[in-house]
Amino acid sequence: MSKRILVIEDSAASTEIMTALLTEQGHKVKSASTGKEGILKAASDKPDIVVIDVMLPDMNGIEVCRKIRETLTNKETKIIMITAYIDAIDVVGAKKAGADDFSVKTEDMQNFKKALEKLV
Amino acid sequence: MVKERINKYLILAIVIIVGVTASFVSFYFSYRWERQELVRVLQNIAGQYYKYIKDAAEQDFFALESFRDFYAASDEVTRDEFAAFAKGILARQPYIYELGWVPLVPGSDRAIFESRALADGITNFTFKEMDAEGNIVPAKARSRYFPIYYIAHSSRNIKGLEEILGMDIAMLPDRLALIETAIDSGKALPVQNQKTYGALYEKDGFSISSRIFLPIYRNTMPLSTVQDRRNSFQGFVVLMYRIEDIMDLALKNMPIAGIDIAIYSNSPKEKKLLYSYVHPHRGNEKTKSTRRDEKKCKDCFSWSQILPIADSEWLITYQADLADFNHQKIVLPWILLFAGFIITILYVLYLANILNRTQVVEDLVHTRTGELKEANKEWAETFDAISDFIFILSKESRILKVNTSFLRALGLNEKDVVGKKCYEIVHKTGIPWGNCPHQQTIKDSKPHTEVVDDPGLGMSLLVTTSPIIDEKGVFFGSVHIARDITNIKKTQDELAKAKQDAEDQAWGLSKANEGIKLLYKELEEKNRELVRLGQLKSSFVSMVSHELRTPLTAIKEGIGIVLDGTTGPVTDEQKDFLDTAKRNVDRLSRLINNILDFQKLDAGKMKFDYQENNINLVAKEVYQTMEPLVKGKWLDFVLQLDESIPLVKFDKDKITQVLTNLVSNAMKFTLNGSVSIITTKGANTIQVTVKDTGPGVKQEDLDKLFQYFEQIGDIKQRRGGTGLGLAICKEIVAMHNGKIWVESQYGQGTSFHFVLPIVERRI
Repeated sequence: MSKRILVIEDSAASTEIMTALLTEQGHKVKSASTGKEGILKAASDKPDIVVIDVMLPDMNGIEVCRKIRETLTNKETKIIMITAYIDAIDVVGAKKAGADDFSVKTEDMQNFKKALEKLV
Repeated sequence: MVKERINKYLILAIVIIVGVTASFVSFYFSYRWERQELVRVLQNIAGQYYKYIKDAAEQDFFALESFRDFYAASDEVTRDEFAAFAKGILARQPYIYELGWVPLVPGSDRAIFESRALADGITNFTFKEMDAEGNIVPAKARSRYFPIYYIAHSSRNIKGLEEILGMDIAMLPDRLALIETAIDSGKALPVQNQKTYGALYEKDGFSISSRIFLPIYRNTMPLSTVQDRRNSFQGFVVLMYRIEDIMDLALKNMPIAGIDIAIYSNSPKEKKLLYSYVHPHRGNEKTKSTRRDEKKCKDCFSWSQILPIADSEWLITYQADLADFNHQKIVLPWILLFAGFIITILYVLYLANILNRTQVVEDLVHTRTGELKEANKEWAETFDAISDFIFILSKESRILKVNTSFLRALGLNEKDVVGKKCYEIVHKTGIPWGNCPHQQTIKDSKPHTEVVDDPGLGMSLLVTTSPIIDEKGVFFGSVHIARDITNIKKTQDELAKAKQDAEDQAWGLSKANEGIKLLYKELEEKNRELVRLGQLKSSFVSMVSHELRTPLTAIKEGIGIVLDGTTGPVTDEQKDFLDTAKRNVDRLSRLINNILDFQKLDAGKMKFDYQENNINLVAKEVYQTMEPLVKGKWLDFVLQLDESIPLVKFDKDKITQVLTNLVSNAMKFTLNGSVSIITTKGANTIQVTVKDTGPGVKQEDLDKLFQYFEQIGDIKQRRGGTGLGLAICKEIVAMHNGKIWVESQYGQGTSFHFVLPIVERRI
């Protein structure tokens, strides 16, 4: 089932990989490279799924998640947090900020794929 | 209480007064009624009596009237004829005492009439009259005589009757006038106690008698005028009767009790007592003709009637002493009076009993009321003591009662609250709150419970409303109890939050764990790769070093042989070049040795020989070795040893290498001043310090000093180091369980310290 997905990720390489992966699965993908851009796009597009990197250049991804949840009050929009540097505090914070799932970025992206499958 | 008692007595007094008054009033009216009834009965009896007398009188008069017809029937009435007719009347009329005939005799006919009378058989008949002394004497010569010619008696045989025959009734002038009036009018003339007869009848025991003179005219002539009457007047028929006879007969036929009767002639001239009858009553014998003593009449009632007799009339007076009838007749009033008293007394007793009972009931009510008040007070105190907020609401949501806790929480008084709608007070709104349990209770008459967060009170309340159903089963209102559960709710919320937090954390930890596992797995793979690469590098370095050292040794040997002059004489210029070559070969050799050391340490292949050694000895040896070099740079070289330092197990060669390296570095970077070697004893360690007065190290560079292949400062400052020395030193000290560090003040020199543990530890 095709979903509209917003990827908020500063790493161009990661964005490229995820866009390729998601497009291949039939989803429509938009991307944002900063937290602020991501919040604006999420507010205007109201995507089905938002993928947020924990470490963004301008702000913490968890904060971005909280802002998006405040903007999109309906729970229709699902949020997945991703990170390359796992930290339990981040995970709990993401949960509290309203994230639906938390995924670690591995090279093969298997963990992310599993998380995505659960939400789609 | 006193007032109630006074009221009670007042009621009794009023009842007594009303009862007694009513008794007396009924007594009075019934007495009056009885009296009137008695009077009416007496009057009725008297009326009958009156009628009897009247009838008797009328009959007498009627009998008298019949003489006119009798005389009209014949021209001349003889004594015998008159006697016969009169006897017939006397037989029929018992009240008539006697009947007489008084003819008019002219004076001229006196002698003729006297002789004819004698012829008729009347002895000694002459015209007579009564003189002043009362003696009967022959009548004087007059123009007219009215002699009594005949008398017929009812039954009596009166002696000396003949004596009054021939008596002139007109012997007195006033009597003559009456006679003439009777003749002229033609009407009957009643006369009482005619003197003419007096003497005679007094002998007979009669005191009073009445006579009626009826004028008789000859019917041959008309009687329309007075003159006619005078001309045709014949004589009088005299009727004598006695009232006693009439009355006695009447009383005989109609016994009349209790009424005294008096009869008066009621002529305009005089009022003369004709008859009186006093009935026999208590203490008074029957006394005829005796007036009853008025004073003795206790309760006199008198009345009178007029009875027409001939052309005159009688006044009949009746008198009764009603007291005479009291003993038998006046009973009802007394019955009523006593009945009234008895009823009053009974009613008063009954009322007193009721009032007394009422008093008992009132006392009981008072006691019970007191108890109820006490109970109510107790209840109210309990009600107010409850810390929950309680109010009782009507079905219209009005507050009927509140407890003090609630008022205190609201900061209001009872009067501000009671009667108001609950939502106006509690929620400050005009309409009921949607989830209000009371509203639900109104709908279904069932208890409801709701948790309410009241921002006004700043409380969380557990509100319970329970319906109040009255005895008829009708919904009356509800009891509204609000319990402050703010703390409980807060705790609950905190617990829920803590639970959520714990769940979140558990989730986070599991997620993190999952992520870490993945990353670890990835790291392991990378690590294995690194290890493989490290091994490759190590064997490469080892191979290269060994391969480099072998030709280097050959070069070094070759240069040495040439410098020794073994191969012929060497010029100074050649010698300089060869020295330079030899120095660089030595340096290259040191570098390779360092690399080999590093490689050995890195690969864990370096062997350590731990023996008990004296660090001071090591310091001295290094000092002696390095002294020429240090002093050759015009630096002071100081050796300061702590003689109390014990023997410690360490690898002498390796520690010598470390100390040499540190002194070499110090000497290398110090241009002026001194280099010092200092040994000191710590608590469990021995410490060696190499101190110089060189340029010092910047703070940010201190950490880099002990890293591999790191050299600080610019290129010029790099004094032919390999970048491995301090890293190797650090490794060696670490292998001894020691520690190496640096202290430096930029521009003021540097101190390198390392410590070795005194107590041997297993490595």
